[in-house]
Amino acid sequence: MTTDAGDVIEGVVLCRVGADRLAVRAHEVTAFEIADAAAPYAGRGFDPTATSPHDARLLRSPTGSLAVDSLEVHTERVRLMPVPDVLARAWGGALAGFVEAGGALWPVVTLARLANPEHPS
Amino acid sequence: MADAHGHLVFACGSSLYAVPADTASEVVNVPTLTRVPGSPPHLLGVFAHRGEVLPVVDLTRLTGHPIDEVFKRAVLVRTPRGAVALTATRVLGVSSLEGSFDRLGETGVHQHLRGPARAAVGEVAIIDTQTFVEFLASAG
Repeated sequence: MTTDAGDVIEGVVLCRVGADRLAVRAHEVTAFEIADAAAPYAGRGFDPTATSPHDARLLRSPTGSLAVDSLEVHTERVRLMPVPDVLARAWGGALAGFVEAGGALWPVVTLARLANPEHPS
Repeated sequence: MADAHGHLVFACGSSLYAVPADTASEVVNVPTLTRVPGSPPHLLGVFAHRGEVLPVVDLTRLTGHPIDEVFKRAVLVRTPRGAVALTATRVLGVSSLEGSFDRLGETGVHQHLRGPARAAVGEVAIIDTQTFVEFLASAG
C-alpha cells in the first residue's frame, strides 16, 4: 500500500531521535521491539556520528527496520504534506512527506526506501 | 547595463543578494525549524507556512562563508520547482540594479549568481532563482 502526498493518513508512529523527530506510517510497522546495537539508528540521518541509546526502540517492517529513542502511536487522521523538490533526494529519497501532529511538523520516512535507497545520499 | 525590473535586495552575513521582485513573495519570520534527516548542511530545516512545507536555505553555508547565527528572517522565493526561504540578516527593499549581470562562477552555486551589480546600498549578487532552485534540487 502506498500513500501519496496530499492523502490523509490514519495512524503514524511519532518518533523522537535525540532533539529531532520523524514519523513512520503505522501500516508499515509490523512490530515494535527493543533495538540491539547493530540496528540502523535514525539519529545518523541527522548526525552521522550519532549512536543509539541503550534503550532504543526498533520499528520493524518486512522490508526494513529503524531504531529510534522513543515512540508513540498517533491515531488521528493527518494530511501528508508533499516533500519540497529540494529535499526529494534527502536520505536516499526516503522522505514521503510531512505531517503536523501535536503542534509540530514531522518528516515522514518510508522504511522500505531506507533499506533500498533510490538516490544514496 | 540596468535592469528593467526591480529586485528585492537583502543581506546575509557580509554579502548582499538580490532576487527579482516578482519571484519574492514575502519576507517571513523564521520559526523553530524541523530538521530533515539526510539533508545537506545548507538546508537548515523546514517549517509549515499556510499549509505548505518550506525549506530554509542558509546562503552563508551554501556560498562557503558560514556564520554562527540563528536566522530570524527569510525571503520566500517562488519558482516553478517550488518555494524556498532564503536566510536574511537584513532586508533592504526593492531597488533597480546596474552593472554586470554575468555569471559569478562556472561551478557550484556561483553558476546561479550574477553580477557584480550595483544597488544604492552597494554591490550585490543577483540570484537566478529558477536555476538556483533547480541546482538545489539536483544537489539535495
